[in-house]
Amino acid sequence: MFDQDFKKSSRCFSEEELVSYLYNEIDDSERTLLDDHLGDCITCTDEFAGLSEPRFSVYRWQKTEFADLATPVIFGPWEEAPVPEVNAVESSSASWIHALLAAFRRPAFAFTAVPIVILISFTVGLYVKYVPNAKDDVATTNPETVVQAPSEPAAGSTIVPLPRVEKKRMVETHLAANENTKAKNSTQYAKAVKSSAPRQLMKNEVASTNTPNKPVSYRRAPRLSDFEEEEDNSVRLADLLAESDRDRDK
Amino acid sequence: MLTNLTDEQLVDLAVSDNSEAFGEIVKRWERKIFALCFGMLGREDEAGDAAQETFIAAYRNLSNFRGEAKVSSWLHRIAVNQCLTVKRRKKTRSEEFLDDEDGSAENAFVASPLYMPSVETEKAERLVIIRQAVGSLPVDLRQVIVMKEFEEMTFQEISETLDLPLSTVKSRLYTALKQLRMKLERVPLEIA
Repeated sequence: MFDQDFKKSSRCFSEEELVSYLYNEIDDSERTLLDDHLGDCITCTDEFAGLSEPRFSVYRWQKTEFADLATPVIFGPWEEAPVPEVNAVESSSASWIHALLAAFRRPAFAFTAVPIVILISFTVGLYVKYVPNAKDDVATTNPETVVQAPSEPAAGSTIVPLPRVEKKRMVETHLAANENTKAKNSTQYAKAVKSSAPRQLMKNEVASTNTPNKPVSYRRAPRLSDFEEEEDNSVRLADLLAESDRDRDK
Repeated sequence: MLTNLTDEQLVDLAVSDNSEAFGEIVKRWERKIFALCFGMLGREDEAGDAAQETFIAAYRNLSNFRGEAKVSSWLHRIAVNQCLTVKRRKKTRSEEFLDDEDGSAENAFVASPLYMPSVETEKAERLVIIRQAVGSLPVDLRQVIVMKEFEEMTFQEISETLDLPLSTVKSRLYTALKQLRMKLERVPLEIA
């Protein structure tokens, strides 16, 4: 790099030589030559001093404000853990779960979806709690299955056996009347069920209407008060049959 | 062991989805890139952000690294661009910036004869002045002096990193120091 006859010449430092000397990036032999020249050349000495001053300022700035600074933590996507491989079924199920969770993370979706979900859950819970099983209810609350105990004749009264024709007519009349009563009762029943609020079947009701092994019905049973307005004056077939039996026995 | 691999080998591994390889690159160069960013920007927080963005940009563009240049050159180029982006962003926001083409900021630090600051205050002011002076240099000159003083790289290393002839690197450093001298001569400055 340097001219071997540099010592003999009056050539001053080049820019590159000056900078190399300034930062001490020269070998020992070259430094010796430059040291000797600086001792003899005012121009190069001034030039060298002029570069040393700003260089030292930058060096001092670096030492004061940067040298003791900790290196900031550099982090990035290369530090994320690799996603474990899953089979197709798991990945598809996981993907829709992730999509659903991602959807719920959106505030707008969460604010609308959560109340809807709560409302639906509440409604389902009410239905399960208060609406009894229809299948079990039919056996216990169907008015047709209510068996009326035959009424005992009043004490002291005389029972007169009816002629057979009369009996037949009475039975036919009874059956026709029963059909009307049945229709009226079913209407009354439907009205009673519709108008009343669902109520929980009490334990005594369960005991009276159900045999021990029969499943409990939670459908609303018609109340007696529902039929209060209706007077049942029809002749019951059971009464007629009981009467005829008694006559036969006599 | 990743520590025994060259930068180029680590990049090849990183391209093949080996995240540890890129982590090793970060570990090797984070201090030097941070130093470069600090010298270019003059502020620790901005330098930290620029260094972070440098490595993230490098990671995202791994596939674009063809191996024609050295990894250090590639990282330095990204870092300088990130620093320039930060400076442009600051100028857009009209915040205080380092670039001071007309020297008006330097004049603000000229002490009046009647002003007698304490020694510590004076030192702090000098640091501000030199920081601004370096910040006002052209990018190509600033980069060389920052790489020399902050990254403590040799001329040969700077030459290889910037892909410039050795003589060009030294010439640029000479020019940078001359310009700094002119800027600092406007302000009374004593070498302690």
